[in-house]
Amino acid sequence: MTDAVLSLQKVSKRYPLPGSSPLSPRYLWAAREVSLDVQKGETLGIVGESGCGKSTLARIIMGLEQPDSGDVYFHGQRLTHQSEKILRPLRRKYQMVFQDSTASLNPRRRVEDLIGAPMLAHRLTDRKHLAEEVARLLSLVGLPPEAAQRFPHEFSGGQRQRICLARALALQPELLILDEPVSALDVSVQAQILNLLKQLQQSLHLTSVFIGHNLATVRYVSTRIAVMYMGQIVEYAPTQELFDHPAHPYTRALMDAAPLADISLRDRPRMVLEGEASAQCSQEGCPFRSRCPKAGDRCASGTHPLREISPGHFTACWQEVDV
Amino acid sequence: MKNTMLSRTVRRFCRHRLAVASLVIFTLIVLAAVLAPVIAPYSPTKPSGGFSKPPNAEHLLGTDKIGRDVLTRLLYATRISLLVGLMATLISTAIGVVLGLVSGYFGGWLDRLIMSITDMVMSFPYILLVLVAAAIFEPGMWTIILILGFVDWPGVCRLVRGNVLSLRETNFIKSDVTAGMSRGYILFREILPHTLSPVLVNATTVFAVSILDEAALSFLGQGVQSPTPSLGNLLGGAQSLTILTEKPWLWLPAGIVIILLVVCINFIGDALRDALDR
Repeated sequence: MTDAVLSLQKVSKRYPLPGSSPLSPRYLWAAREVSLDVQKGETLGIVGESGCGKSTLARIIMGLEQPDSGDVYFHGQRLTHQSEKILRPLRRKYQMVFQDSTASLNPRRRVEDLIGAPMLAHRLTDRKHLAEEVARLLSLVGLPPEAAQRFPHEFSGGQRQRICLARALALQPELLILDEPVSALDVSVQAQILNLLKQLQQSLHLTSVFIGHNLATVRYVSTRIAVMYMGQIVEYAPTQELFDHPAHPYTRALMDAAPLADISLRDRPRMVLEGEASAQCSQEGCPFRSRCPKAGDRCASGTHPLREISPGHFTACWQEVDV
Repeated sequence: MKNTMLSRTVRRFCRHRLAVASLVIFTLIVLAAVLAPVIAPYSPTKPSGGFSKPPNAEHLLGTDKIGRDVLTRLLYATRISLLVGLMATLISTAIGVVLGLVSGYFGGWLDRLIMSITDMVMSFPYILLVLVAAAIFEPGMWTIILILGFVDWPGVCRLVRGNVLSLRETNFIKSDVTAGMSRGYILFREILPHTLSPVLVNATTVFAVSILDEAALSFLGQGVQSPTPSLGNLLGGAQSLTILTEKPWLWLPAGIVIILLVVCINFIGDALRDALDR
């Protein structure tokens, strides 16, 4: 964690399952001993299916929720279980873009207020230069300066997501947490926003965490990818390495689930998952074993910590997957 | 945009014909009450004619049993009743909004404390409270304003609390938190404006109820005291059967004004609810 921008150390968060007895409660693990480091300038992608705890992780990083155990550090400064007084000046440095752009913008405020209010609160500008700054930020995300006088509902989904991005960038953050920023958008608009993100990451030297459920979009912007299943990181590798040598059966299944444009490849042997990530998944052993085609006796016992199988490539599966 | 929002609200309000008519009648009543000292033909407290005379050219609504002009008394009474209703509404809404905001936003033990007080006040029969209070303090206009003000707030409090709870979970409030905005900004600049329209609608109901409550209490002799006229103590004159049956001019006008006020306010509130809904 020494020089990492963001560091998660054994972060756990669990919710009691509805209907489980209070004496021997069963839990849904939104995060289970998640440890991650994000280095300066990189984009870490976190991918997993709905309900695997990706967004909970983002909320824990942003301090919107507290973990049951474990801590989050930003440049070595602990963020978890910290008073708002200490956090408030720090928050400027790490910003978040939410999935639903409509819900994350106050419908009664003009774009100028939406983008400007946080800047004024952190004294990054004064009222005199506000309009100028807002126009600069708008052009940064590809919106005309006239947009400043309009209200959020006058924009399309993609434009609103640009406004959210401008609002986050207004505070000149070092770290950007992107929680499914394109999932709610049309595919064509997704590509525009992804390109914009990539371009901004380069020009502003941003470090970011990109959360998504679509492996293809996560791959496009990320330098490293962590695959999450039921609150656990099951595999974690540089993007190219992950796609070249997926080591965990779940990663493999995610890749096989993506549709391919090349018809000749459609009959390739694929791993198809049945059912959904079940909330009733075992509290012990590998969480994926109920759906894993390769599950054996070893999977049911003990924990499966991440192990390094090649430099920078970690997997929580004890067996190698033959690709 | 602000203007188009306002014009949309006005347009939606105007779709309710009854509410528009109510607004006109209500405005006329308020104007008459406010201008009572100018337009009233006689003094509200001094006798100006014969005792209990039926309506005639000099006294359009007749005179009461000690010779005061009923029309004049009615104008002043409306003034007092409106003032009681308005002040009680302001006080209870202010208390309710503040407690609701605090309760919803901070949660925890503070929320539980405020909510138990709310439940206590809500479950208490207020007439009893008022009778006790009136027995301890001197009954009068301000006593009844304060009592009604301190009894009517739980509804607003719960309304605001519920609103805050749901707003607090919205992403735009969360994005304010992550942007490091101050608590004051989030509470008063972001959450409060979003709860104002339901509070305003609720206030119309409280206003109408306060007028009714004042009338009831004054009728029982525990509210506004004679010689100060109020709609309630004008009605009080109808407690005897002979007046009720033989001298309707003494109580009918006050009754009509109360009904008009309450009905008008309720229609206006209904239309406001639709107009402000988005």
